[in-house]
Amino acid sequence: MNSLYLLIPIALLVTAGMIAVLIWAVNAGQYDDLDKDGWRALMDEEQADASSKKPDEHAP
Amino acid sequence: MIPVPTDQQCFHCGDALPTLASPITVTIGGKDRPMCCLGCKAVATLIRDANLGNFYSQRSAFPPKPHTENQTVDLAPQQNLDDIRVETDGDISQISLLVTGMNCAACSWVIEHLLKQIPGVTDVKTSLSLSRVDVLLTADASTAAIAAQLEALGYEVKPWRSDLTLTAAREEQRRDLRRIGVAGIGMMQVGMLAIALHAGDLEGMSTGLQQLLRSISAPLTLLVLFYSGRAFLIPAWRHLLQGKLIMDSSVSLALVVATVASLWATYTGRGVTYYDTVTMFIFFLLSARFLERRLRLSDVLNIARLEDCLPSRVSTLRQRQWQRLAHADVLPGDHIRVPQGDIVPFDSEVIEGKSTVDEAVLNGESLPRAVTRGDTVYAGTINNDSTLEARVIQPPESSRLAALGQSLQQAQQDKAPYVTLIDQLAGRFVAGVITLAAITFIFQSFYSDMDTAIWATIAVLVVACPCALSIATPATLASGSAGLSRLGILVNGESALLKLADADRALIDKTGTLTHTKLHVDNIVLARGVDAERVLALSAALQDVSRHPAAESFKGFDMALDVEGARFMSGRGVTGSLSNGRGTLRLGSEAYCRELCPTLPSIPDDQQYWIALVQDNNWLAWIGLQEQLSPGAEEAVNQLQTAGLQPRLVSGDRGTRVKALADKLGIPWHAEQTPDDKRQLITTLQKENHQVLAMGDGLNDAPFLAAANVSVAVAGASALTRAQADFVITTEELNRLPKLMILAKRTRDIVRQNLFWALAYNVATIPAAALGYVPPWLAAVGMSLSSLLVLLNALRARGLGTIK
Repeated sequence: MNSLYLLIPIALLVTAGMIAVLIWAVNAGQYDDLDKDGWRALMDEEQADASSKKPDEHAP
Repeated sequence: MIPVPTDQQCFHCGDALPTLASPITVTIGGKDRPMCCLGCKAVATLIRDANLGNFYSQRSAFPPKPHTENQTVDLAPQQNLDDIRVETDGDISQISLLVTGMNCAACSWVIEHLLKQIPGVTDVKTSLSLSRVDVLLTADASTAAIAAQLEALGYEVKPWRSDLTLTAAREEQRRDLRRIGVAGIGMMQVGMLAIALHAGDLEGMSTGLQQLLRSISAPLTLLVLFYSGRAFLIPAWRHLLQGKLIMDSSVSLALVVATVASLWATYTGRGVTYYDTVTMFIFFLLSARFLERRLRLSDVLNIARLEDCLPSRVSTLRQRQWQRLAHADVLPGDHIRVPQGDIVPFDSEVIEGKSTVDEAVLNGESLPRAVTRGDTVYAGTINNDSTLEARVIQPPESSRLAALGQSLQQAQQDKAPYVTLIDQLAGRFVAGVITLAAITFIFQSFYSDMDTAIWATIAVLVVACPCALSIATPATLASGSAGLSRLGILVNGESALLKLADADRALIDKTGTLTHTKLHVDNIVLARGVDAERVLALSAALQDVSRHPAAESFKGFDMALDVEGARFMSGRGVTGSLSNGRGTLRLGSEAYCRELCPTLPSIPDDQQYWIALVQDNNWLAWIGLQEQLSPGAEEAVNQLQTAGLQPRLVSGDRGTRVKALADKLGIPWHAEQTPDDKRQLITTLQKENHQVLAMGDGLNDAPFLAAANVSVAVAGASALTRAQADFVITTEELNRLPKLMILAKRTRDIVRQNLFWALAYNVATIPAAALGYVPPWLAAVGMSLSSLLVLLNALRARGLGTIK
C-alpha cells in the first residue's frame, strides 16, 4: 500500500500535465477544424502510395 | 456520405449532363468520367494532375461548379488581398481568405495541397467550419496566383474580415473543448479513485486510506465543477435571479448538493461521497450538447450578409475615365457601367443601353423585365442581355435591397422563441424534486436521527440528478442531424427537427423552389400548314445566339440548318434569315414580331410566357414557355397534404402563372406577394395558433423564412436565405422533403421516449433513495446506465434504413 503514496502524486502530476497540454493545444488553434484531420490521415496515406509508385515507372 | 455521380451527372460537380455531340470526359482512376462543361473538365484535370485524384473517392459533397461563363478575370479582389497581407515572422507574411463553396473535408484537403504547390507558399491552414483559409507565404509568392488557383477550382475568394460573430464562434468552440477536455481528464482520475473507494465500501478498506482517496478526489472534482461545470452554474444562477427555473437549474442543484455533501463527508470522515457522479455527469452533458451544436451549421451560415450579393467593385465614370471603384466609394449621381451578366450594384436609372433584368431576387418573378433608357434598375438584380450605363439614384441604404434587409431584421425580432418540451418540464421537475427532498427530510428526521435524515435527503437530490433527462434532447437531435446530412439536408436552426415535427401549415414559394427557374417549351400554337418540328428547329437555330433565359428552353432540339446570320436584339428577340434569300425570321416579343408581321394574332392566353415566330409577313407559331416543376415537387406537395399541413403556394410572380401551377398541384395560392405580404401571411397564421413551415430560395424569401416557425431553403438558395433557414436541402430533389418530415417526426418520438424513460428512472429511484437504499456506487451505476440507454435510443434517430 505504501506504493500508493508515490503513485498517486505521479498520477496527479500526469493529470496536471495533460490538462496543460490540452489547453495549450486548444488555444493554439489545433482543434479549430475538427473535420479535416480525420480525413487527412486517410488521404495522405494513399497519396504516399501513389507517389511511391512513380519511381518504378521511370525505372529502366 | 460519398456522393456517387450517376451516368447522367457530371463527375465533378454533380450537375446534369448536357446533350453534346462529343461528350467532355476526363480520365480519372483509369476510367473516362463525364463532365458537364469545360470548366469542370479543367478543374478535374487540375486535381488529377496534382495527384489528388483521391478527392473523388473521399469527398462527402459535390464541390461548386466552376464559373466558365465569365472569362474576364476580375483583378480587383486580388488587389485587396495584398492589402490584408500581414507580416508575421521575418520575410514570411500571412493572408486570411474567406473561401465560399468549401463544402467538405476533402475540398479543404485539395485546397491545402494545391496551394502548397505554388512557389513561395510555406503553409496553408484551412478551417472548414469557418470557410477560412490562412496562407503563409514569402515575398516570392503572389496573392494573385493564390486567388487565381482557388478561383480556377471554382471557389469564390474574398478577404477574410474579422467578423465579431465568427471570432466569437471560434472562441466559443475553443472554450467548450477546454471544458470538455478538463471534465474528461478529471472524470478519469476521479473515476479511478472511485473504483477503489467503491470496492472498499463493499470489501472493507482502512479509514485512513479511504480518507486519502477522498481528499484527493475533492480538489479534482472542484476543478471540474468550477472550470467545466460553469456551463450550467452560470446560466442557472442568471435565471434564478430572474426567478426562473430551467433545466440547468436542476442540473446545478444536483451538482452543488452532491459536491457540498461529498466535501462535508470528506471533512468529517462520516457519510458518503459522490465525486465520481459529479464529474461523470458534467462530462456526459457537456459532450452531448457540444455534439448537437457542432452538427448544426449556424456558424458557417451566419457570415452571409446582404452586401455580399452586390459586386465589390463598380465601373464608374470619374474625370471622364472609367475607374473601378470600391462599392462604398460610389455616390448617388455617379455614372456607372453594369456589364452583361453582372449584378446591378445600385438602384439606378438607365441612361444608355437596352437589356432585360432578372428581378427574381427582389420579387420572385420568374421572367426578366425589359429595361431601356429612363427605366429604373434595382441593386441586387441581374443584368441579363447587354451592358447598361446608368446613373445611381439612391444610396445603398435606401435601396430596395436594403428595405428587404430591414424587413428581414424585423422578422427576426418578431420571431417567437421556441419552447421545447424539456424547457416546459424543467421548472416543474425542479419544484417536484425539492418537494420530495423536503418530504424525505421531514419524515426521516421524525422517524430516525438527524444524520440519517440529512444523508437520505442528499441521496434523493443526487439520484434525482437529471442526467439522462438533460442528455435526452441534445443527443437525439445530434443523431437526427447526422442522419439528415447523409440525405443531403443540412440542419441550421436550434431544435429545428422538433419544430418541424410540430408544423401544421406549410407555405411554399414558387420560382426556384417548386420550379426550376429554367423555362421549357410547353405549348405551341401553329399557323395553318406549319409543322411543329420545323418551328422548333427554326427557333433552336435562332435562339442559339441568344442570352435570354428563354433561349435555354430550346437547347436540345435539333437546329434547322438553313438559318443564317442570326442576331440577338436585346430586350426584343432574335432575328435571322433563311438561306438563299427565302425570307427574314423573327422570334421574340409580340411587339417585335408584329413590326414585321402585322397579321400576327394576339397572345393566346396569359398563363404562359409566349413568344412568337414570324417569317416576313407570315406568322408561323406562338410558342408557350412554362416553368418546369422541380423533380419531386409533386410528391413533396402531396406528402404535405397527406400530413395535414395544407400547403399553399405563395409567390411574387403574376397571378395567372401562379394559378396555373397551383391548379396543377391542387393547392391554394397567393400571387403577387411582396416580401412583406408573405411575412404578414405567416403572422396571420401564427395568430391562429398555427406552426408555419416556410420553404423558399430567393433573397426575397429571407424575411419569409425568418418569420416562419420552421423553414427550409432549397439548393441554389442565396447565402442570406440559407442563413435564415432551419434546414437546407442541398440537392435539387424536393422529394427529400417527405423524408425530412418523417425523420423529424421520428426524432420527436424518440425525444419523447427518452424523456419518458429518464423521468421514469428518476421517479422510480427517488423513493428508494428516500428510504436510504441507494449507496453512492449504485447512484453512479444507475446514472450511467440510464444515460447510456438514452444515448443508444438516440442513435436510432439517424438510422434511415426504413426511409427510402
